[in-house]
Amino acid sequence: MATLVTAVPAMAGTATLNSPESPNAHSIDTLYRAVLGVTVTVFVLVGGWLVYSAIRFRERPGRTYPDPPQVRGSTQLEIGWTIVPVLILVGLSAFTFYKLPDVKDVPKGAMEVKVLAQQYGWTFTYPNGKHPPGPNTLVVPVDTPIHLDMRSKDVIHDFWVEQLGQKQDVFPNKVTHTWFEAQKAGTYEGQCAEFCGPGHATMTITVRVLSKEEYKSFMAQKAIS
Amino acid sequence: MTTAAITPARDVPEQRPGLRSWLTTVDHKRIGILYLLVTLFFFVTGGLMALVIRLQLESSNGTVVSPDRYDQIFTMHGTTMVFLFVVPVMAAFGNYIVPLQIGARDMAFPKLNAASFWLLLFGGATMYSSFAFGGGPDTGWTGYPPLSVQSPGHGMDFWIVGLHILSISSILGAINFICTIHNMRAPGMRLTRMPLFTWCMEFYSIMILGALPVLSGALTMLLLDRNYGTNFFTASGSPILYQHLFWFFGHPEVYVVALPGFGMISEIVPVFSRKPIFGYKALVYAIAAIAFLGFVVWGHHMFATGLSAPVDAWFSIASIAIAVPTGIKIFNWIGTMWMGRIRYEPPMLFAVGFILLFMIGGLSGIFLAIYPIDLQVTDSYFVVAHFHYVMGSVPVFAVLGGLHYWYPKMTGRMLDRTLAIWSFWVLFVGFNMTFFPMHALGLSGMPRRIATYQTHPGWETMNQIATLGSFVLSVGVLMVAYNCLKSLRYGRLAGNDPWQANTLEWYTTSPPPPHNFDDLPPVRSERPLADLRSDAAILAVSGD
Repeated sequence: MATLVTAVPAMAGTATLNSPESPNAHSIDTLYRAVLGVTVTVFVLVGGWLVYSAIRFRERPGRTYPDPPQVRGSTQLEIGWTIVPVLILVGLSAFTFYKLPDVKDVPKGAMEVKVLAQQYGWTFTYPNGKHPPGPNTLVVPVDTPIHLDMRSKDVIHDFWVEQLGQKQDVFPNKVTHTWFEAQKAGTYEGQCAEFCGPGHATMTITVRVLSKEEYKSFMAQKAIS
Repeated sequence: MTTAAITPARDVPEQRPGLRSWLTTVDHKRIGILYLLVTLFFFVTGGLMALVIRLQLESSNGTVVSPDRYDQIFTMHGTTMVFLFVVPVMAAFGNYIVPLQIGARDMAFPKLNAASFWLLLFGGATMYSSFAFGGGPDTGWTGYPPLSVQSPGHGMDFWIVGLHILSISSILGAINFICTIHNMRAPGMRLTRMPLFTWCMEFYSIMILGALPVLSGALTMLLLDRNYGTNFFTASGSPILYQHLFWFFGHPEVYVVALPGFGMISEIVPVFSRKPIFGYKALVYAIAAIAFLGFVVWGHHMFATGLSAPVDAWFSIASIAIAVPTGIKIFNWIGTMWMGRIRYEPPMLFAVGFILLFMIGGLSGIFLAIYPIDLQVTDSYFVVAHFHYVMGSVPVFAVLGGLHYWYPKMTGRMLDRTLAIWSFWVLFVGFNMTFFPMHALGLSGMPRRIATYQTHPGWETMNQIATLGSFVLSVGVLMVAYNCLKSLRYGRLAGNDPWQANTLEWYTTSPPPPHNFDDLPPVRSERPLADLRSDAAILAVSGD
């Protein structure tokens, strides 16, 4: 019970996605919060109605009750509780498709980084053919859209750095794309999100975001060919 | 009172109690009980594997099992729960209950029925024998290629062959249910008077017939890729094709599991609310709509693969649309309870608990249907939380609700009420402790199917709560098992109809004789037994 009591506030803090730091992640976060609002409201209303009915109409021992009304349905009510959810869902869908282009579309003029995934690591290649040093680590400048051009050497993997946006599967027989634009310098952790074998858990991703000046000197001095 | 004619029982052989007569039985009730025992055995096996998973993830850098072994365990946990428990446990209840509910003497094809059962046992044994031949399957219950093509050893081959056998078992069972329901109903039982559980078994069967052959085809190609050098799903072929085929089966499979659960709830709620079901026809239409939509939403399992925008849009909208018929069902159940006189016998407690939990699973499904959000939460623990609130709440709460409801019919004895109520609360707390924190784990970035994780803020606390919860849940399961064993001997005698229920299975003795019914009452509505009671009440008042 004590665990539960301490768990409730801890859970309240984790009802949302990790703080987004890229425009696509921001769009998803906005959409997530909208859907969270709608679903929690629905749960409170309908769940409340269920629990209220379950308690209010219970038979208590030692009392006699008249037979309950033998109602078999109500067309009006049933049409009502079909149409209202339809309207809510149409609203949610419309909001989704309004928010959609931000998430999927790779911005024009983004810096293209080639990504090669294999059991169990990632290789990143800059447009000039150089690589960041260190395993599974991508180094990029802040406020610059980065377009990832991804392929796998063996099985299906998935590139996922939550704060920088959506997942994208990586296939051995085709190139897939994703993008991000880190809005704050720092280090972002992620990992492969498609089960790829016994080493799956070790296939981590680190994205180090540098200021533009730091990035320039990094490319000049530390990137390896 | 008129009594409808029924085929004479002369040609139904007497049943002996011995083991041999059980092993050679073709009686639907005995086959139902065999199904129940075997599926519950697999449930315990799958549950024990879940406990190993929970122990491994209880802290960071867990070393309870090696990553190789972990992969085999989570693969067989999922495979066991889906193919050897939740789907066939519905066949267990379907077998026992459907012929009784429609006033039939047995299933349409009793021998085929026995074949379905033995194939289930044989398929499960085939899969598990892989552990004796160098290691189990290890690529998840979804078995995605190219990983599943490259997986060394023979674990995946055993898995494929085992699934083939299980598919045949389910398909034969489905044909049998459809033939039984369409040809063997009691006089007067039109389709519009059929009990809702039987309706749900009808749609269960239709969906199995539509979905499982597609899985079998995909698995055959996978087997050829692994052993005969074909390239259907390798990097030279199309790995994504397998995913389409798998999920064309896999999503309907969710409703194959859920619909009979809905059926059980639709039987229990009206009986214990002392009212007719609210909106019988709307419920049947809602079930039909879910069965249809279940076949056109598979792509929502594949948003992260990078489908084209119009395809994403279709699967998003179609998946969201399922919320409408699902909502209708929930509203109709609450509408049935409204103004009722609710008796909290254990089946009703399980039913109300199920509706609440399934609502959580349904609402978290909306996040997964809206594809930009799905791209963040898919393949994370959020999905694990979601499908346990859906696929897990059905067996734990709807099926156990059904077990508490029909146990008196199957055994002739009542379960211990107090113990049953306690076990409900233990299960309810354990279930939520186990699975609710997984939403938070997924949102904070924990992928599913990882054998271990580095120290990470928040992950350890949530995982510890989940692990603790899984043991609470296990205690609840043990309490139910103890109750079932104890009551077999010491339970109060049930009589024909301990719940004052509505449907024909309660007209005959508990347990029913081999031929099921000596006679049948007239069927004038979907509640023939309620009609019988009100006829009797009218007669009593008029003084006849």
